[in-house]
Amino acid sequence: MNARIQIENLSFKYPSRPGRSRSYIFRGLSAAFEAGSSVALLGPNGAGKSTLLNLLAGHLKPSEGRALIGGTDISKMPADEAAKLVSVVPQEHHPAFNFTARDMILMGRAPHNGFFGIVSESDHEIVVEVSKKTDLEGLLDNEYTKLSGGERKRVILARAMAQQTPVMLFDEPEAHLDIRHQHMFFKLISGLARDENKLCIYSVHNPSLALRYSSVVILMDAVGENIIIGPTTEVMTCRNLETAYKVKFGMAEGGSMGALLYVET
Amino acid sequence: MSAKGKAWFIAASIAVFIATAAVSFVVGNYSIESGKLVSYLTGRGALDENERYIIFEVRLPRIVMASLTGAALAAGGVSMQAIFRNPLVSPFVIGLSSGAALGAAVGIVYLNASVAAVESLSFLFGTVAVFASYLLSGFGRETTLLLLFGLVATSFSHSAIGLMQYFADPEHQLPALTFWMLGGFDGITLSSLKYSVPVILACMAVLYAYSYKMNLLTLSDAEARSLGVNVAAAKFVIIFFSTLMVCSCVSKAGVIGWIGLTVPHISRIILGPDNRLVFVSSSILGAAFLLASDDLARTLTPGEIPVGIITSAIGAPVFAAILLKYRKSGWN
Repeated sequence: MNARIQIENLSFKYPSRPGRSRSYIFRGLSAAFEAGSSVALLGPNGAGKSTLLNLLAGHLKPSEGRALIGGTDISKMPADEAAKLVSVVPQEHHPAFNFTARDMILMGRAPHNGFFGIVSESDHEIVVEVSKKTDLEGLLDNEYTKLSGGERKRVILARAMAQQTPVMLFDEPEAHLDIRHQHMFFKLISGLARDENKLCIYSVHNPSLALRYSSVVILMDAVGENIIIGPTTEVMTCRNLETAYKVKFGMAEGGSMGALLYVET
Repeated sequence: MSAKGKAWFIAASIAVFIATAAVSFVVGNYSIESGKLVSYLTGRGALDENERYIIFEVRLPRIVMASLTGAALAAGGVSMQAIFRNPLVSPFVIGLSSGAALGAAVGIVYLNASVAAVESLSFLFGTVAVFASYLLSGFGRETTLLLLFGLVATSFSHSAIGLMQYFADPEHQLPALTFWMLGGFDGITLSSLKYSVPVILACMAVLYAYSYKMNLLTLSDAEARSLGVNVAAAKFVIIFFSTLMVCSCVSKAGVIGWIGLTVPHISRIILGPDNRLVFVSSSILGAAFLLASDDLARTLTPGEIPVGIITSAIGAPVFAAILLKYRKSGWN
């Protein structure tokens, strides 16, 4: 299945948001994202990053326009078909029941395993494979709720990888992670895009991570009127970031680390 | 526990249930020697007319209904706990038991306590209370709202029941209502089980088919959807069939507490959280537990104690013991 996402004239407004001055989160958004891209979704709090991710996941229906995955409108797809095309890595959460890490990762196979979720030998092999990539091999039989925040996050990533979808969405993958695991996580994501030709789209707060790991950037401003979409090197300029975030940015060039962004005080 | 250990545990539960059922045929105020029953069943002896009547017309329907009710309450508990992502809710959480009690009260106070009226009204009011909560909460989209509307339905039913108790005749109606609300299986006949047995079994089969979806629903609505579950449809099916199943039992046996909460909890401690196993094990253990409680209810005194008193007297301390374990190890 082609992982291409095309959004056409996409608009979204929440039914009623008392106290909000703007009715639309964004309006008339059109763009296309190709398989193999690693797309960073940047913007200040409340810009609509999560809303856009939810639209692409099919959790929300657009007010106008549509989002197509491989040519099909995602909001009209039944959940079981959508789950074979798009996986989602949500922010941290605390489930009420004590499934093991292995149980959680196996749930990623649910869209492929029919109504009753019967797992086969190959599902267990997939679990081993993704747990190696996410550094979880020794933790598979631990209870998910007893893992650390970073470990839980990796379990949810492993679950999405086990889902084996051409499109993967991530909601603020760097949250709750220390700086080493942030980089490990983003390396994995850009590897999935580059080596497995997946389309990975993630919302992110740290512009440096976007600059370093993404190939495409969607930069949203606080009111949803000025949304810039394009190759990372073209979009990530100090001027564009200043317009979106209303703070002054500086950029330092540094060796193999690439450009490092900082906020001028 | 290993997969083999889990299989053994379920096999052992089945054995316990069968043993309890066998004992239930011979214990009671009218004593029948077990040897006599065995030789009758193997064709080597005879039972007199009284004994045959007691075994097949009195005890058999009672054993069938107590087992099915225990299984249904526990399975309904498993289902609702998955929907609410909370191991501490009972199958009565969205107004079922109080709605059913209100229906029974109307039947007892205004319709001469006819069995048909009490049964059909308690079934009707119980289901209406649940579906009112479900519809008012916007088809269960927001679980918290569903819980709160369930609370509204419960409180409203209780005030109406209170009013009827206040005006009820204290000689006949009030004791009948009290006894109904504590639950019991006296007066169950084989012919009265004609419809409820297939309905309860069919609901249980549908819910069991959804037990894997229940696993995914315990994560969050958004995650369940992104793992391929049609969340609204799954919630509707689970709420609809568990209500039908539990109401079929409650309308015949009254409100029997603690099984829907305690039995799934014990199953989960032993088998882990996978609802495909917990559902089976809870149904079997629930059946055995209620059957044993009913045996106590009809043998402890020359008369009969409402079985709900026994299940609470056992269930509450057992639950306290589980909570004490959590106090040591922490909730999660």
